[in-house]
Amino acid sequence: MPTSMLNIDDFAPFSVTCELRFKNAYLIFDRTGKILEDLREHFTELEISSASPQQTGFTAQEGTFGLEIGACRFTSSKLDGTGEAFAKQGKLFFDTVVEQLNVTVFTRIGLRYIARKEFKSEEEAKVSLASLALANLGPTKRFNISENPIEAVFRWEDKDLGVLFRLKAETTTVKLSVPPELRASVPPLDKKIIGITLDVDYYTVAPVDREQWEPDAWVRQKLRMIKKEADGILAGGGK
Amino acid sequence: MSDTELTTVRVPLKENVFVFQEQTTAPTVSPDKLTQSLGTTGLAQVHGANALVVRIDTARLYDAPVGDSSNIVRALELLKEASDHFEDARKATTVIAADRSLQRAQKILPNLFALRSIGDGFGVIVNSLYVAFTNLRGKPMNSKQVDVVWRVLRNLRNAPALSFDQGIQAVEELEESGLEVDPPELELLLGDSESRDDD
Repeated sequence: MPTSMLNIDDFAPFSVTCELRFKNAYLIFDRTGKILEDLREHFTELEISSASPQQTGFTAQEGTFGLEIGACRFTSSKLDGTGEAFAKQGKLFFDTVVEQLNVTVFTRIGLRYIARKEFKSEEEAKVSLASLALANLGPTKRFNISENPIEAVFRWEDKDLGVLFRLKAETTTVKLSVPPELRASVPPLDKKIIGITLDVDYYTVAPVDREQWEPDAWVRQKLRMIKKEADGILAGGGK
Repeated sequence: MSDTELTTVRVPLKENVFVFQEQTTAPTVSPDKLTQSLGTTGLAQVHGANALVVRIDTARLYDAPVGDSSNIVRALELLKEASDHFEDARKATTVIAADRSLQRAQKILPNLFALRSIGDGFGVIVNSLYVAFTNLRGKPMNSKQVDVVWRVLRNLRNAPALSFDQGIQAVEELEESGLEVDPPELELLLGDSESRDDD
């Protein structure tokens, strides 16, 4: 069995997002302010980044929050080893939203984990991705473009649960524009990050009753599962 | 099934066009190069609070790889074990066989009690069951009590994250069946307080 040079520990966590979707909750028009006031007691330096009646975005030191008429989500880039802090913070957020918007059924619960491994060159990243041999494709130039695909996407799904698994060799450009008058003190940023992005989206397909879902336990358990399964795919060379 | 979204950009809804978001929304890590398509969507995928779709089984929701030792998985296993013993007791043809099943169920309660931090509703039910068994002082439950406890355990397994108020409703059901769910010490304390009030 071929083994790849990659394992899950090579990938530095970039972000983790937990998202709930539900039937349109019209109480959002009355209670967004109350939700924000309640959350302000639990999160540090909570500030609104965008606001409209149907959609409010806000940030805190702990992460980024989205509140919509049919969904809410919490994203953090500060992920500890077990995801314990993320799970606890997520529970505070989701319990508050669900309570205030009187949500009783979740049409979808998603947990998305994104991590990256950096490489010196894009070619090195492509070769490393190809070494996984995730799809049984021979080394033939396809569509007159290239022998090796730069992205591999797999989805497993049944009537209850699903997972979208994606690996992509890519170069990400991070740019920070600074007004001319500030350039003396704040240098502009223009950085290229070359590497492989691992992107796993675990989600429910069947509806979930509110009483079924314990956010803290579910998030921690699914994060463990995502890492374990991803490691198996990476280390096993796709076998 | 739609995926957890990548961006917060919204495509304006057009008349007679159903847009199913394809992913859990997360910060964009690269420009989204997917070509928008309606070809992969279908009304068969519509879920909603009013949709006639079967809810996910709770054990499936917390489906874990072998060896995962999370509290919620352990609690669901113990609840299943306990409710199975109660089911055996309901089906038992002799009092002795029923009592044997109940004794097996009782042995599981301390383990569930140790996991009561799973949720407020979970905690209050497990607490009450634990006390109810203690207050029986070895006497067997009657068939109505067996039915009620079996139903409460089964419901708790389906909804382990129920609220405190929902937990209290279940405890009231236990009380209505004749089970004493308050700890004996509480009665002593209340008795002392009442006698002081009388003085």
